Amino acid sequence: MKQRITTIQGFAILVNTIAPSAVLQMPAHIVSVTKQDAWLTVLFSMVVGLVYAYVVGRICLLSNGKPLMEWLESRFGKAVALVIAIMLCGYYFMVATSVVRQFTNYVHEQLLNTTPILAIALVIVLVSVYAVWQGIEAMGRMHFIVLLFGCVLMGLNFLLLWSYYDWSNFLPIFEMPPERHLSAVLIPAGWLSEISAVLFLLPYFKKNIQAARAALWATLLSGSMILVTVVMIIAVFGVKIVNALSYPSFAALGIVEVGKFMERIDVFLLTAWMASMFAKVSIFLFIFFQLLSFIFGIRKKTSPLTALAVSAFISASSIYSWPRNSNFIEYIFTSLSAYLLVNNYALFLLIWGGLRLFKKKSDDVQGGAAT
Amino acid sequence: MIVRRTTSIVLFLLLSGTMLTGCWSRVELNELAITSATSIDRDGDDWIVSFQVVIPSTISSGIGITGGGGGSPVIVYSTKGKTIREANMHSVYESPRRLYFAHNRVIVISEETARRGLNPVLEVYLRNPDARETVDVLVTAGKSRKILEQMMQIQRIPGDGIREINTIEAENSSALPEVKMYELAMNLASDSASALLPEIYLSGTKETSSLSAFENTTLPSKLRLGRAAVIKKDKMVGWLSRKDALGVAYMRDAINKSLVTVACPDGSGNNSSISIGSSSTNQRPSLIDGNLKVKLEVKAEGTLVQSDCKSLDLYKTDVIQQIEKAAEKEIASCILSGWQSLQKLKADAVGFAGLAHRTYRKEWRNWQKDWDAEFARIQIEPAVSVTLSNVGLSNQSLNVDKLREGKK
Repeated sequence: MKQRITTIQGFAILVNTIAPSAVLQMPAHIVSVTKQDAWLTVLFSMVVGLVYAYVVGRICLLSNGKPLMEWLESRFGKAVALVIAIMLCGYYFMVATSVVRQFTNYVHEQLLNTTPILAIALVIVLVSVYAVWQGIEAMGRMHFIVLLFGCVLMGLNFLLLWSYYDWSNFLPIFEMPPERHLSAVLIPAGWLSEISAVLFLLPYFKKNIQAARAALWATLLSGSMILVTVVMIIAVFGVKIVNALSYPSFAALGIVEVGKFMERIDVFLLTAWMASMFAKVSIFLFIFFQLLSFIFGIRKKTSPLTALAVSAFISASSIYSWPRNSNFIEYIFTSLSAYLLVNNYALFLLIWGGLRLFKKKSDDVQGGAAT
Repeated sequence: MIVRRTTSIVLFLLLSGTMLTGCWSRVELNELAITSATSIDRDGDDWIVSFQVVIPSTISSGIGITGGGGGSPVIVYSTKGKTIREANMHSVYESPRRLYFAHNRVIVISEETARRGLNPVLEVYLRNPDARETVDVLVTAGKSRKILEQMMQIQRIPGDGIREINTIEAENSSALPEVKMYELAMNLASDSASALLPEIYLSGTKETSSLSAFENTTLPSKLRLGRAAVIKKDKMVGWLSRKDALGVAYMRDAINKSLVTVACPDGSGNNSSISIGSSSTNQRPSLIDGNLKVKLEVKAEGTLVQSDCKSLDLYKTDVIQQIEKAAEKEIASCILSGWQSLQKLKADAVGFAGLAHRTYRKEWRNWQKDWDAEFARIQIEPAVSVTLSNVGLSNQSLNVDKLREGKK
């Protein structure tokens, strides 16, 4: 029986595809460029992200209900579909690898200092592969719970920090020139473009319109989560010290003290964030396995041996690709951000153009497509 | 087939479980030296870091400072190194346990260390996850280690006691701020690049580092909070008296509660005390001949807690207004005194640079090039308004002679 996910589950999966790593390091980067106007930068990037999500939604509506690559194969032919699959497979492999590294770095630096990073990476990937192994329905349920948990705790932490906020930290407004915003918008807009992952979830929605809606709402919520994080760290720390902190969003929560009996309540949000990082890695691996199966023509469910091999490969790649953390940070704010922009914006806009240019075949029309 | 599949899953889960134990990063309580306070001194180019380590077996039993046993609840030792972390690491040469800083409540910095620069201290606390940025920072004149060696009355762990003193003072007197490490970093990284830190010192004759001192009701020495150290661009530049520090707190709108003592309006030479329950300061900047002028509108509300005046009818509005005026004058005097001291030290601990940046963006571009010069030209105008909302449970100054005579 074909597995299905609801709109809300799809929405949760998509938010978890973007938000967990975005709230970790991106706010500090944006604040370093546009200072107290960083919240404006996030708003601008949300507009760009929503326009892109709308375009992705339009592609969703054109779908015939088959998996993305099979659908593209039926429209563009096998050769073109294969080239697209190889490009996307490379992209999702690289993104999955960098997400695992980002997650591993944080856990290693903040929690498990003496545990070898390869062990941490391996556990992250194995848990995520196990989630993928359970199928999209189980992932949908898991993503929904993780998102709900995360949103509640994020809201709670935002309120607990209320007495630490200094709203004058946002003054003077509009101090940064437009070109600073333009350069700062590129990175969050690039990360929000990960919404294109919805195209790989298309066959699991009952109707295509559900996928389009999920994409729009997920972009909105992900952008809002980045916005809340940026507002929170500026209100607590101001703009000067944020540049010196690797993880200002968690550092802000680390200062909360409730009376004399409770401190370091960031551990609660950290728990939710770790769960969402597992969720994030799982969705990238899910897409990666889909593309791998298409490229090699594998029709059966991925064998445990293949899953373990892929896990080992991704773990090792995430650890050994960047010998130093400084290399990795440089990579995510330069090469990876550019790759996100090129792959998501350029490639999917080309696919959209192609789909509109190449005429539909009669058997492509799906009941939900026109809805 | 099912058996094979189940076996594989069970094996997989068991193998995964081995990685979830955190056995590399495990922390056993009996391997930790829980640090309750740290101090930092300089010796030439080297750093001397002292640790006040809690002895769990002593504090877990009995009552009183000695815990019912004969041992001290804490032990203090120092290590030396070219950097603070190197000095920390040298603790492994003498301590059977690994230093654990999660419960470190205070860091005491010697005046010499503060005058030579605090950047390395901030660096250590913001870089390493084991050092918490919520630790209270204090400065002491002379060597800081002696503060850690001092035992305290009532509070069994001195580091914890120092933090409590600092918190209670900041909540009730507001003259000296309670400054956490991240707040210090924020203040020094702000446009004004200045901060205040409370001073802690030993008052009395000799150090109370021996438990035998607790056999008496009076200790030969005790820890007390003193002045406020003024830090500018990571270096200490001077001290503010407690009165000046209170004035600065009024300017910064950092008053939680406070007490003002004023001379009686009847000219008797006696005093009255007003407990300030709430206070807010509105900084209103303006430009006078291209220079900044700040009107400080202080609105405070208080309760009369003592009046030693000869004859005052506290139900009369004009009498209350006289006391209010005297309190306003006293607060304005604190503010002006604090301001003059800050201008003398050229340290913008009030945060006027941020105010100038927020309000006069165009002028700020020029001012920030030489803020010290602009800071020296700033004029302030305190406008204090005190409302004596409550006079307590008596409507007159208590004088038994008058009561006996039946006079009011």
